Amino acid sequence: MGNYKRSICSTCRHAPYCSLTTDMGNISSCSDYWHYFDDDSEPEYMVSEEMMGETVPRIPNKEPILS
Amino acid sequence: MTTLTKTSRIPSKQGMLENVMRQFDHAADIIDLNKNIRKILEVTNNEFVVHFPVRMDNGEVEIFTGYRVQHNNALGPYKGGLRYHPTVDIDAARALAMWMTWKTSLAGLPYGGAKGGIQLDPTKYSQEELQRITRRFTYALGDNIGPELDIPAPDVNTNPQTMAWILDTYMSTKPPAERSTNMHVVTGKPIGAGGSEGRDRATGYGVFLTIKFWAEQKKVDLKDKKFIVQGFGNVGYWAAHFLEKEGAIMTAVQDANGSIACEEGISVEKLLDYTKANKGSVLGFARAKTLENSEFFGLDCDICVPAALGNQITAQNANKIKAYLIAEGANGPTDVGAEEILLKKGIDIIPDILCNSGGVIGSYFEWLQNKNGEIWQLDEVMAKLEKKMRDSFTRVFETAKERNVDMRTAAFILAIERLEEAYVQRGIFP
Repeated sequence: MGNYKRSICSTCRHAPYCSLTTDMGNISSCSDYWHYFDDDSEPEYMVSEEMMGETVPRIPNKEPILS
Repeated sequence: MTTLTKTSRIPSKQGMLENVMRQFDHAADIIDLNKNIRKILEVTNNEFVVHFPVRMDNGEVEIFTGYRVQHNNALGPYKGGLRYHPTVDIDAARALAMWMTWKTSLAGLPYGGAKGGIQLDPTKYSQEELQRITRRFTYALGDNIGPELDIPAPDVNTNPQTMAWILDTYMSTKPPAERSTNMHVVTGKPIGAGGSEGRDRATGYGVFLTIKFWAEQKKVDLKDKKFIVQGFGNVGYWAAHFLEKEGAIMTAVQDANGSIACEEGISVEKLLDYTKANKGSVLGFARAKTLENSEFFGLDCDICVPAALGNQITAQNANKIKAYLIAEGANGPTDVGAEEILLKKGIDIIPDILCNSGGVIGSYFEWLQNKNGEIWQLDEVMAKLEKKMRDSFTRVFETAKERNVDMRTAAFILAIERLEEAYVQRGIFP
């Protein structure tokens, strides 16, 4: 994963098995981007569901409202 | 520690920047764009590189590098996201800033284009550290951002919380009487901190709307039409949600984990519930079969919605596509070679710059509400979004017909012509 210096794939948890693309050299945005976290350093969310005000698909660490 | 540079001509042309420049040049040639205005649009207005110190939880001080590239503001304040990622650099920010200029221009918004971020891996920092980094970055940018100057928004690894920190920091630097007049310095805020209803679904709803408008023009009834979606994130989900409400049938979905298909249809809401319980993956959904990934774009369907990432439809798979409409929910999903093949086959493409512009329009509505001290209900936001998207779509569709060009070229022509008009009317100072 560390080889894609210009690509967000470099830090995406899906990169080792990603079915969307094998061309990971220059990806600047992706709907399935999931930033790699060490399990013990996953940050807690500080924005409550009520503050977000929506029941959108909530996949861990995916930007909640901006495409 | 701020570096402000003025570029002569954007020097690096890698990846997205190359694509953005190629599309710009193509449209500029067709409209014979005034050569002086072309010179202006080929470069960025301002590029800020800030190095700032932040104290870490362990007491050590670390220096961070942040970027903000402001491409053009002929039509209004700069607008664009801030991302936190190790790949953030000036080249990436330039390409994405330029892209924002075309997008806001086409959407008819009073905005220019910008992009930026901080070069860091957020996993390496605690939430408290990220808060201090964000606040110190905001302070370093100072009055180079502002509600009437440059309005950041969430992007990769930034979210409503990040925007709330920026807002709070920016407001704190202002005299007390002015603080509440600066709520619109960022968009994508939490609802409780000045965010807008409907911002979450704006991009996906916009994708759906462009499909609906296309169907109206082509006298196609969306009921029972089959569609496939690549990417079941925020954009893919909401686009599918609204298409299903219109009577269309989702027959296949692809995400990072794999591809599934079901001829009889896949319930969008049931799939969402399933993914929530299945670590975000669509694989294993009841009654759907698993596909080879290479089969996905060749599936029998009417509408194809690539809503994941760029360069997915290529010269290698374009000939297999059976859909007669491609709605680009993602940025740049169709490459140059594929587009040529698809257009020859008579397949219509709703270009990304139009198709996924609902997000920035939603941001504009948040900015307007803050600026005017208003709070709009969800139905009001959605109705206004539909009106704005219909206007954009109609202009692109009509221009494509009048000039006998594809919709992507038409979209770029319109975006550039609006900027050209502003420069011609205002002239160049002094």
